[in-house]
Amino acid sequence: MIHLVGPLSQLRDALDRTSLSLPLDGATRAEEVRDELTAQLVDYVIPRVERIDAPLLVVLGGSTGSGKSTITNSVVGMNISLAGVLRPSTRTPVLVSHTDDRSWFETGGVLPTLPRNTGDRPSGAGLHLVTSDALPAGLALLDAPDIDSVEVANHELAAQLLGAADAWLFVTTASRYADAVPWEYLRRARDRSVALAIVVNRVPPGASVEVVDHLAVMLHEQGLHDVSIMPIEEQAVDDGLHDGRLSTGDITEVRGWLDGLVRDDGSRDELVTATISGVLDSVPARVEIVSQAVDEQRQAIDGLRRISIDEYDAALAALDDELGSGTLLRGEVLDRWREHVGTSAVMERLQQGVGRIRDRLLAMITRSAVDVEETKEQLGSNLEVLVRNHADRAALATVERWERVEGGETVLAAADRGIDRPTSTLTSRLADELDDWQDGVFEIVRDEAGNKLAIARVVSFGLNGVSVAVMIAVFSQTGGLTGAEAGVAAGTAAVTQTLLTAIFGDSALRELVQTARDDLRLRLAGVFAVERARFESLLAVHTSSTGRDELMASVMTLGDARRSG
Amino acid sequence: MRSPTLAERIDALERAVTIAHGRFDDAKVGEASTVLDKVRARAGHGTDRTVIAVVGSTGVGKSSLFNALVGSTVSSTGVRRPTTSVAHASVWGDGDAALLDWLGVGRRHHVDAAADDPRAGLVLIDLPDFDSTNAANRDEVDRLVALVDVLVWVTDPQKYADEALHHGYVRPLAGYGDIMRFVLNKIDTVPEDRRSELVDDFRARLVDDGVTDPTVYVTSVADEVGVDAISAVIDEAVAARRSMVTRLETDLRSAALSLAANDGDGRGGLDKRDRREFVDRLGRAAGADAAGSVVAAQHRHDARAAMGWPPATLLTRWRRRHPIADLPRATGSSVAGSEVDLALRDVGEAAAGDLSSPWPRVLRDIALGHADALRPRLTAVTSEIARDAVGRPRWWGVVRALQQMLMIAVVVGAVWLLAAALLGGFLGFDTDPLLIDTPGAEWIPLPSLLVLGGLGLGFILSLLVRIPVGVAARRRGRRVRGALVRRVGQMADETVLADLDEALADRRRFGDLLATAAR
Repeated sequence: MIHLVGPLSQLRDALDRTSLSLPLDGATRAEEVRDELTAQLVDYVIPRVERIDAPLLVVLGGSTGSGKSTITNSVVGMNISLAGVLRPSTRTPVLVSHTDDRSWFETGGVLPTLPRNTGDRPSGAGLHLVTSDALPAGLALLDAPDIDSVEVANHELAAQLLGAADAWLFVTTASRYADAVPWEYLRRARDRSVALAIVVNRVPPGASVEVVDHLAVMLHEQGLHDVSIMPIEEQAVDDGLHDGRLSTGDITEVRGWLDGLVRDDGSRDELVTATISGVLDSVPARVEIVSQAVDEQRQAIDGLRRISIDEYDAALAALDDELGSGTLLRGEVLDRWREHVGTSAVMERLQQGVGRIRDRLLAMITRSAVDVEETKEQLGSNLEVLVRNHADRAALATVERWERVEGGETVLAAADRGIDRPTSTLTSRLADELDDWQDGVFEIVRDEAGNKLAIARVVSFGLNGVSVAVMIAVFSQTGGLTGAEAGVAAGTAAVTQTLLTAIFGDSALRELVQTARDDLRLRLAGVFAVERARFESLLAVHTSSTGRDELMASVMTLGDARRSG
Repeated sequence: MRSPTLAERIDALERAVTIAHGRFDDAKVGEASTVLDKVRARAGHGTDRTVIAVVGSTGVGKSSLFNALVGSTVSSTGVRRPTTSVAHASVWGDGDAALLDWLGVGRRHHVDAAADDPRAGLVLIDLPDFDSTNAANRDEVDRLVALVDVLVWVTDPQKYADEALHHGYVRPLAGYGDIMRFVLNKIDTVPEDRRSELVDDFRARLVDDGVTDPTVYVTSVADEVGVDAISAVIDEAVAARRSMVTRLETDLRSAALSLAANDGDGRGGLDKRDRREFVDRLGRAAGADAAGSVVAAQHRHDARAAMGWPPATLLTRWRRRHPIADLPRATGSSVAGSEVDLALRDVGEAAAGDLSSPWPRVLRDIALGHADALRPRLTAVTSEIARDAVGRPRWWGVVRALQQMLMIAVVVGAVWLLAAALLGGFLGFDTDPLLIDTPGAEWIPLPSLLVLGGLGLGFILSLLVRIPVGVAARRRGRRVRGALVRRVGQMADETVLADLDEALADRRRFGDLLATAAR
């Protein structure tokens, strides 16, 4: 059996790395299954396969007020667990073992995550350890907290303890045996083929046959066959108990069942093997539930990611369209530009290749230098408005679509209030990118003009002016202008075009504009990527670091190991 | 302040639901509507009847207690669990079939009671358990727990701390403390010296659930202990005839609180600065600045055409476009649409302040809903105001006449000189008599003076008028800009801002209505 430790640890680690935080159908159930399985692997299965001959652990579980502690005390013959009228009476689990077995339980062979506590009285959340030679060697009894009181922590602990049991002694009462909660646990015992016996406590005198028969029918209906049912009669209030314990006669049957478990090595091994096989057999189905849920979570997250990518891509495409169609070129900016380029003698001078010093001086001292700066600025601010608006739309559209998709609300719950708006740093980031881009255009223009006659022409118009002309060309090239706008904006663009062609030549110009446009597109994509990153980091929280494949592979490895052993 | 009546509370919640409809989560609004329907239905049956339910876990002796209260065996008891699986009612006095039909209780048992019997009008219902494997029982309990006037919870020393009781029912119903009673049955199973400790523990758990000052009755039906006290409680409830109203008021209160819990207590609203900023941005998007400069340019253009130095205007007149023709292009900036969208989102966000969901969404949708209508209206307004602002002042006519007179002088002088030149140059006439001296300035002939003076004065005049024209053009530009911003402001007030204010007013009303329903 020891060779299973590796595969089991691997499975445990894989389960640990799953995230099931989106409230999809069945996620809660899968989370329960996963937590329970992980706990069972850690608390019971791995310790058990490490030492198959370790003492048997019988866990007493059941409803509050069903008398678990009284039964434990009665079996052992001394008051080790607190019984009382206040519910729930047992909060600290008490583990009784034979003196010989003490070290196994003390060192944390089973339930390694629970702290041990060996004081005189049970207290705190740890496991209270007691030794008693009234129990046979190789058998330990664990009095678990209840499964159904208002103390929810008790249920979780009880479920964990029952998961670590080689055998369950399930305690209920005549008025409780049809409660819904205990049956959930009994079905769990059935699913894991754990050895099981049921004590029905507090049976009214004379009613035991009717109750036991009814319970047997109910067990049968749930697929639990051959379960020992041991009734114990209701004790009279004042003199039924001896020092709080049941009489030897009342407890004989329970004692007998316990002794039978360890009568000889054969029956003991059979029991251990049956229980552990039952658990191991249940592993593939349980992991399947988890891995299916993990897969659904991954799909949901992928879907959400897809939405955010779609929206930001669409926004970028729409922005690109608007930039290419010359929309930026309308308005006041271009009027000034037209005055600067079109009406001045710049064109003629360029075409003649003559730049007279007087003209240049004039240009420097007149408004044209200012106009170039203004044009540049206004192009920048117009572009910012467009980018902001598209970033705004993408954020809102993503949020709105997420809200309608399963799991989206949960992911958004962790978001800042402004998640449906652009980031606060958008303006400054965009300004930086535009500055860099404009500098880049400036560089390109200078490089392009490097060795040619163009230098003179560029100089006569001003390097800055030519850069702006290139920017305008970038925003007008695909020129989808229509109607009345086309006349003016296209006119402007055409003038600019002629100017630039005169400077650089046709093919060089085309290349230059293309380079500048690609650069801009790249920078805008970068700006949008930062916007979208907020959504990505929201998703990251919910992403599992392990997938269905790894989980199923662990199960396969485990199956192979079992067969080879 | 006077406490609102049941009818007033119903009305308040009803109006709050109307406001919440379509804005809040449909499920939440649906819950409140369901409560309203139920409250109206129960109130319709009047206070003459008091519906009391005995409810408890399986095996706590609920049916035995019920039988003891009725005084005969109407509910079956036994050791097989669960026993009671269908609710049934014992009705004192004349039956009210409509009420029982509404409650959906089919099994009925009539107890004769005269009109002056303290129990006349009592409907006592034995409910099934809520914790057995039979899930249908739980559904029946859930259904009736929502409808009855008084709830008598029965438990016993084994089950008094069960999660099914406390988390399943008492905690969610903690606000109904006034109409809930708690019975700890089978007290005989606990040694006498431990009983008070047990009762205290039960009471502490109820307080922990949120029930204010719960009363716990201790019974042992088998020994007929404590049943009289429960009977007395029931008689008292029937006599007081207050239970139904208390129950329904509590229903309305919890529905109102649950809606209000959705609302949060952030603050929203638009202050003066938000409004001004919004209008400014719309004005910018409408091209107020551009329209101002276009109008100013048009004014200068018109002035030049009307009063310019004729030789110069002759040259440029036909070449220059009218600036006003560029208006749509200058103002209809490509980014105007985006500006409008951004301004709308910002104003929606400002209005939402730190209000909690759903108000930010509601206000955002209201604001954005105006985008499509607003954009063309802004353009239309801009062009209308700009075109109205174009016009020629009367004094231009005087200057224009002056310029024309000067031009006539120039022409006269020129013709004169030409005539002199022709007569003298070609035909050899003596032209001296023609070129008469200017009186007072003998050094220059009159025709020359006419030409030179006309041209010179015209040019000086055209320069001089530029000063008042420039001032007037700037003023017109400013006026257009101002008028446009005012008009846009008015438009914003009437549309976007009005709708936002109304939604915010709704939200305040909503809070007040819920407070009334919950008081």
